[in-house]
Amino acid sequence: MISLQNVTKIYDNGSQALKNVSLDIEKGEFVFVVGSSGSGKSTLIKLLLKEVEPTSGNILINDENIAQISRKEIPYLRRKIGVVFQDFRLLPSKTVYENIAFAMQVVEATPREIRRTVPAVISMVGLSKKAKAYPNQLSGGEQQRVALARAIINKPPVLLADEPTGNLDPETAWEIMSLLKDINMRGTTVVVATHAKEIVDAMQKRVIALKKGVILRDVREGGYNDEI
Amino acid sequence: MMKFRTLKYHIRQGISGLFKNRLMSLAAVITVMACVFILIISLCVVENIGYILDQLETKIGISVFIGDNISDKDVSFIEQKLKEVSHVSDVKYISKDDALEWGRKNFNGKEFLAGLEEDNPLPRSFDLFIDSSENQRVVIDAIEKIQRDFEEDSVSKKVEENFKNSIIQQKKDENSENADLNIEQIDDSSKDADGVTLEEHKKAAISAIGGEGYEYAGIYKISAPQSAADSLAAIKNTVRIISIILIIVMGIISTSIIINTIKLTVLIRKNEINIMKYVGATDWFIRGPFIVEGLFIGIIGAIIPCIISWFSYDEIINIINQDVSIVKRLFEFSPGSELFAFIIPISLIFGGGLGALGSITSVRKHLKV
Repeated sequence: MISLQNVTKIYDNGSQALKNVSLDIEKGEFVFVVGSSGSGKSTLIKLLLKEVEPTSGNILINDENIAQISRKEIPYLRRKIGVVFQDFRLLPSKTVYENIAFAMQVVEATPREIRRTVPAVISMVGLSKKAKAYPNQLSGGEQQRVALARAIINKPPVLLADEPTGNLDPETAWEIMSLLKDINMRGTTVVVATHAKEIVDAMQKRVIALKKGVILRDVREGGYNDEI
Repeated sequence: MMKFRTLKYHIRQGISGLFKNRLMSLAAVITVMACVFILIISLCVVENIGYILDQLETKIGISVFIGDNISDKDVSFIEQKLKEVSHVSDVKYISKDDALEWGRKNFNGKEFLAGLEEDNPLPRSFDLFIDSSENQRVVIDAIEKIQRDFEEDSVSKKVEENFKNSIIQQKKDENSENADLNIEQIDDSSKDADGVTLEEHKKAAISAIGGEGYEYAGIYKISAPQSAADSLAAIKNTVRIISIILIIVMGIISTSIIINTIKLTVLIRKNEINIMKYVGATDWFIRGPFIVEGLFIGIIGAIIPCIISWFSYDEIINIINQDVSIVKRLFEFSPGSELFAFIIPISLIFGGGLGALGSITSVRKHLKV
């Protein structure tokens, strides 16, 4: 599903974010990418979204080398990858419903498809009662649910989450994690970059630990800092 | 191919964008208005200068003077020929009496022209008006051709006449009884007493046309105010160049102002653009609403000055005509309906294009996510 082959990323300012990283993520996997800030987690996410280009190495998504796709094709790559961020990134002027429907309008879905799909996804993330609320009327956890709903509305095969619980209290964080797990159970490959130790430890999923741009550890079912 | 619902989405988003950033939109509309106003004013001035120059140009004629000794039939033949010259818009015949009348009016000196009714020395003439001063040279060339053709024709006739007479004379001298009988047989190859053919006589006479001491029978003078025509053509060219430069400069200034205004609205929506990029929106999908917004700003900004200037144009012209009465006698201003038939589309295209261009430029930077 996702494959990195000897990927190195050196930013223009000379900082080396990833050093010769190789990894494979299979379809339907749930993967934590852990590490302190500056370990290269975010760079990894950005590389997968083709927000930044690798300095060297290949990145394959669905057997397609994304280094070779043109700027024009990036939107179509991103339609296959849902993404959520620590800061939710919702549009403050749009309601919950509109924020989610927006992602479908962008891919030029028909109004009928939108009317049919959006309420289902809203109820899946448990926000049916708040469909008409605006982001500033929601708690952090609720906002992240909206972001999650938006990320999966177009049924991408891959969901990337960059510190999805970073701004949330532990209880809410758990709710989001269980949602991510639900999404994974439905067949979506989920990659979560995080440093939420308790969650990683408790979930016992595959953990890829990064440190200063190098893979420190890659365990099938592990905790956050088995060796860190 | 863009889907219709996507277009609808762009238009809806674009319009809602206009209202969401009301102040910014207003600022942008006012900017466009100012630019289009200046554009319209400069177009009005430039167009009127051109229009007035055209009028002056048609008042510059070419005078063609006719010799006194040719018949009225020949004069109307020449008139017909002159009318057939291309670029000639009008041919006016001035008879001897007309010329005298004109002289009386303009010189005010009756003594000077007194007693001329009986033996009027003023020539008949034609006043030719041409469509554009640039064509004066061509027209003069054509008139010169008419002049020459007429001369050749009349010289040939005269030579033939003389030739006949001399043959008759010769025959009379030899045998007075048969004198009239042979005249019919004369042709170009006939020879006179010295053995010279009629054709050779004709050739010799024709080659003398325009030479020293030759007097033209038909058109004996072509008078054209060349320097006036030249300077008018030069002024027209300058006006044309100035107007093009003006439009380009206005375009550059207003585009940069629009870009900066729309940049602010884009900045406000930076997050929105960012999110659109993450959910997989194409560049054109992101640009769409901004282009609609820019088009609306541009077109609204153009319509208002169009309407205002259209309605005030005739008023202003009236005021100028009344206050500066000399103007009315010299020339007319370009009629508003004609002028605005071309100013309005230009302004709308200018405004709309400006808005759309401004939007595309403003969004460009933010698309690189």
